[in-house]
Amino acid sequence: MQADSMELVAWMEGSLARVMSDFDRARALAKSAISSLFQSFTELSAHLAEERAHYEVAVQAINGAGGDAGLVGVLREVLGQFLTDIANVGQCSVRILLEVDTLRGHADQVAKRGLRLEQVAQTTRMISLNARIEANRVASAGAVFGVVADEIKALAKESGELSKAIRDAIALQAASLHTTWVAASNLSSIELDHALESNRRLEETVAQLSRVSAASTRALDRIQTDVSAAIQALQFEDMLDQLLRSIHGKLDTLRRACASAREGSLHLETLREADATVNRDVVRQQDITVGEVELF
Amino acid sequence: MIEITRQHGVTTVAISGRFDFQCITEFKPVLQTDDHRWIVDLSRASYVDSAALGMLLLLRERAGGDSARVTIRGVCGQPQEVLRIARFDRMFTIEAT
Repeated sequence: MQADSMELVAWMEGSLARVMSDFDRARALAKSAISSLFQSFTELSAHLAEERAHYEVAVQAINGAGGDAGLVGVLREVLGQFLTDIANVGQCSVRILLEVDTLRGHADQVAKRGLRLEQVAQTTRMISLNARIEANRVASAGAVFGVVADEIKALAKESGELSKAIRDAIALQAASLHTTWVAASNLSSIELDHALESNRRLEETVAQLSRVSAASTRALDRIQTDVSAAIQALQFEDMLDQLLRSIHGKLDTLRRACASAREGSLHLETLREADATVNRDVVRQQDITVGEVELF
Repeated sequence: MIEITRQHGVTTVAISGRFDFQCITEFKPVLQTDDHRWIVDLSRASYVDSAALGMLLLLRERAGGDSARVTIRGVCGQPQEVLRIARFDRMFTIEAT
């Protein structure tokens, strides 16, 4: 072999040794990085699963599941019970108002009778006055009339006082009935708009939560899918390592061929073996998502 | 406003506008009828308050607590929402529009 050729072969051998050294460092770095990424993604996947479980528990606590009504169910129940109670209060107060109305009717009847009693007392007073006049006209013969006239007058006075007392009592009762009517009216006329507004806001919140929940579930699904894909991709590290080792082996074959050539011991058979080694494909797969995984 | 009609043992009560505590006096005769069935037409009622709920419950009481004997018909809008939340569908036969 010529001196220049010897020098070239020696240079190639040295260069190949340096390339292999760099290659080994690159391979070690890649292995370490992939291992670290794999661990991170595996932990991320576990965290995601944990967070998803917590999220589902929270959603179930809000929306309910199985026999549990959940927060929303409890709020609906409370609101429904509130309106049921309001309806019962309304029923009682309407009953009171109807009774007050009936009592007013009775009081009117009593008032009419009191008025009639007053008229009777007035008539009786007129009769007693006439009796007194007649008694005075017939002088001593009318003494008996005088006694009767005095008694009738006393009766008229008493019935007059009685009718006044009834009138006063009815007036007091009417005032009490009016107070009761106003109180029962206030009790019965509870506006329900606030309850309806609360119900609307509750239903809007439930709908909003439902939308957020669906969006969050979709997002979690996407993240989980992406993480799973990343983990799957990182599992091909073994295949990559074999490919790198194969490249290392090919480079070493070339380096050894150079060494043999430099030492003058390079034979045709050695060259054929080196050629077979360099041209062998240990991994034919071009993409982790296409074709079969070829590991050996 | 309340219109009361009676036919073949059925009392129909049609309520227009606000069905509230001011209707109590007008509603009183309904609670004194002695029929087999009552129909409360709320298709023209725009509003109910707690007194209206109370009157309906008293009518149900009048019917012996039998939900099948009192029908609330044509309910819509605010009255429908109130009756739904108050769960009146458990106590009355409710026919929506």
